[in-house]
Amino acid sequence: MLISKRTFIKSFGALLGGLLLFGCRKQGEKSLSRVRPVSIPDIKKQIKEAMKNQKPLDSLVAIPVPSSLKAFPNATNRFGMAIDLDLCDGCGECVLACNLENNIPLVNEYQASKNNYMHWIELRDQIPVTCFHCGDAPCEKVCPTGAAVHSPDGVSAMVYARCAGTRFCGVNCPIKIRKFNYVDALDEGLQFISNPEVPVREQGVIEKCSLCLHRIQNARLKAKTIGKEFLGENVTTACAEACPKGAILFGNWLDPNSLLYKKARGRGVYTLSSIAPFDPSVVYFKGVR
Amino acid sequence: MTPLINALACLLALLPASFLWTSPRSIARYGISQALILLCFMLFTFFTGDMEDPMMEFYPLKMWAFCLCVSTLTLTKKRTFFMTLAQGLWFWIVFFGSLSLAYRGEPVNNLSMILLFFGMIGVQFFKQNPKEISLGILIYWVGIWMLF
Amino acid sequence: MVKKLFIVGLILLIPGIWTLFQALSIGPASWALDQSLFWGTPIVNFVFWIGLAHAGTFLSAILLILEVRFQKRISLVAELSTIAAILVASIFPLIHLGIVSRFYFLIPFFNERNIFANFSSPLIWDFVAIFVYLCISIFYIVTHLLSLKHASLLKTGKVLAWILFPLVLWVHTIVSLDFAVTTNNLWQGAYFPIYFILGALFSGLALVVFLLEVQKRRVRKIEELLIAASWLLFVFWIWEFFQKGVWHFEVVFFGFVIVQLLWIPVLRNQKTIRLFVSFAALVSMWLERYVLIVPSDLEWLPVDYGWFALGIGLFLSVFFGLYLLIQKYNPIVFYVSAEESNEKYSKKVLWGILAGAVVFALLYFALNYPLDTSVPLMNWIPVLFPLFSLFAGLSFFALGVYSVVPKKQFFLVSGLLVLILGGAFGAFYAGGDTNLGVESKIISVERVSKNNRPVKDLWASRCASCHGLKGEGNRKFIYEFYPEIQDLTLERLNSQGEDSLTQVVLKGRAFMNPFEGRVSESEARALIRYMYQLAEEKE
Repeated sequence: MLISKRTFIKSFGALLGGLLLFGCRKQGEKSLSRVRPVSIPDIKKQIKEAMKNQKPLDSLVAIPVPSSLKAFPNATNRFGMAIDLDLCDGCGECVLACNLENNIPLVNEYQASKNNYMHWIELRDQIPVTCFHCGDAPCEKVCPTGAAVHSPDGVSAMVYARCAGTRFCGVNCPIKIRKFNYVDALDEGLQFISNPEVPVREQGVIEKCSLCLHRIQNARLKAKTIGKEFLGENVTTACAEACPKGAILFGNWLDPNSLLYKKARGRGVYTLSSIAPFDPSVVYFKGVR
Repeated sequence: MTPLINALACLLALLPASFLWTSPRSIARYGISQALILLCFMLFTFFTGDMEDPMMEFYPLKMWAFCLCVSTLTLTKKRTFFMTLAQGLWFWIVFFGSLSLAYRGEPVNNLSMILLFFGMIGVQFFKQNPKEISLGILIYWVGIWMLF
Repeated sequence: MVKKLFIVGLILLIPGIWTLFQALSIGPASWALDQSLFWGTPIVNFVFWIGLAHAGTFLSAILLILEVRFQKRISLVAELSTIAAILVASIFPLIHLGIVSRFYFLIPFFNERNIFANFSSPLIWDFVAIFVYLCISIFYIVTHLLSLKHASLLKTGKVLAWILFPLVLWVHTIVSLDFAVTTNNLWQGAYFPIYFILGALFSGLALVVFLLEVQKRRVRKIEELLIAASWLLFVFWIWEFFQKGVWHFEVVFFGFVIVQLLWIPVLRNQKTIRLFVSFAALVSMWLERYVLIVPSDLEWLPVDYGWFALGIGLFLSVFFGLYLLIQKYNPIVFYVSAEESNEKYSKKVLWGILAGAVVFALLYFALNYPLDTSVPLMNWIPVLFPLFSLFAGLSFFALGVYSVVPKKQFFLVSGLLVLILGGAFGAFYAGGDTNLGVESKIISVERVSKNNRPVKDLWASRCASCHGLKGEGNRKFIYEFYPEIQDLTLERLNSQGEDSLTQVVLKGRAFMNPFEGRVSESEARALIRYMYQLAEEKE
């Protein structure tokens, strides 16, 4: 034997420890100078690619108009949206607006080849699908760290700082609309920063539609400052704002003066069949009831 | 599942209980006999029960546990110990089965679990079982089966 | 043979460490996943290895309770395989995390910031159950080794076996709930707990058959148990077919058909056939978990293959490393059986410790429950039972060890352990920085200052909710949450000075929240100047 057993084990142990330390090292602060500017045509290109390979859609089923949440029976707000399928033609403007509003990163070529885009709104069979903000959300039940939580306003929120990336929420989402940050978009120069109000997500956390929570909070602050009760007036989501057909409506399901509430009257209210048992806040309008 | 089929299931589960442990066999043969009994219960559930009902998912397992419980009455050695184990298995199946079903919005039957739990504790007090007590325990189990 | 396998394990660790490195540096993108498949091969391997851990405890602790005679001859090998397999298994869910350094978020500590674990999530139950299982398995094997010298520890071993008995079944039951509680049709099933336990026992038995062959030993009863388990599993596969209409021929072939070869005496008596059957059983169990967890056809990446090297390499090196270590100090330990002992704990001690454990679990519940009453009571039991077991197991173990080792040594070692564990507890209790990640902070602040948004807007969005749009104080809000707010006067501002007020904005003071990270220093200064402006307007 050229080397003794003891030496072999020792050197192997040292190698192992060294490699482990190397693997776990902190990768250094990321500097902004490395961020390659992402242009809007880049984003449009990926949206177009995503729209080419659309995932299939579940069947639509009729549901009652959303009412107050089981978890917060006394709340005065339950924010939600309605997408009017009679008006929507699947142009994809909402996806672009959402991307710009929420600093949604591009994905690298490998992820793009697997159709793993980060878009919070997806078109499936030409119908926009986003997080439905279920009142009885399955994702929130299984999140071990409480990163997926429900706000009393009916928003299924995501606390990025609390997310450890177990991806249990993604596993339990019936429509798989939650997106996981597989790549470090900042590092790879895929991050487009257009809105300073929305934090940039780290690699390793789940993200999804927040119902433009920052807009809601800003409107709430304004209302509070003038001493008014906030019921969701003077605020709308980026996708609703951008829709050329006006097919997306944002509002408060519990406020009879809300446009959303008024428009729901007499309309057929639908959702995806796999979402129907979970009391969604985002619904589809189709035809008349 | 109608009460009638439930009662039938009870009878079916009682059937193999009396001769499960009578003839000495090798471990493998015991395993096979258990497997075949379980298979019978599954076939019974499949053909009589409504397979859309999530409660059916662990119905044959409950039958099996019930059968094992009753079969312990025929034991001569370490009867209390195996009674506790068999009831523990039943409790286990019901508790964790209901827990997973509760996430799908199925109602949870707490009372049957509490009764099974107290059954596990209760049998410790009957170290020497005269026939009457064995009968009493059997009725207790059949009661749990029929009522819940 | 033992040494050879140890070397094989170390060699396999080389690609294993490479895999670990890849997985940690690239993250979950390094193995086959996409935006609809979030759990991949690490979870398959986790379930597989945690299943292997079970047979060890089954063959050692449960058969001890059932007073089966062959238990004594194989118990130490079984216990060692348990420890090695849990260690391997616990690595996979850690690597699988998106942000590995945040693993401690999953520890159900109630902490000062009220960020506490969600007790409805099976992952929390998993963490607690596996942690406690590992602890008590270690206590159990240490007790076993000590009891060879001190027969008085046999009673401690027996009590620990009683604690391990439900706990080991508990662990795999909880693993099955990770799947059974989801909305995925293929994962739902109220029969999953028993199904998973059987699968775990089956694969674990196959592993023990292999490990005994390494020692050139053979226990026929285990082969019979293997056949029995294969039949029961077969029936469960039929039930799965009834329920969901899925049928995996390859799983059934390896896990059921091949195992039946053991019926034929000519084949059964050949070592190669026995090894082949045990490998087939392991393969079938791995495949079973794979087809369950990864339904879609994704192209595997190198890391997916690397898990095998990591798992097998680590298992072999830990198992045979410990084996060689124990053998060095006590060469016959694997072949001797401990003496019989009918000694038992006095009723007082027994019930005292159990009552203490119940109180411990209830105390934990009472401290945690009020923080989130929305969690159904039923969901607490999967956390409370392992904690009960941990308290009881630790107490019995400490009591047993205390009675046989020198007092000085005992207090020194336990004192050190308490210090280390207390420190770790404190560190986890306090938690880390839960602010947004460094990158996001840099970005949002830099962008704000570059945008140079009007200070008036900044005041309206950051300050006005409490201080009012004109600095008069938002009465409605303040009276709800804070006692009072100072009047905004030039005199008061001058007495404080611009520099120190900027620091107040950034660092906070009394009821004022710190705004560092949310406004930059230049913005804070601008806000203070804006306050001067407001004060002037007022006067």
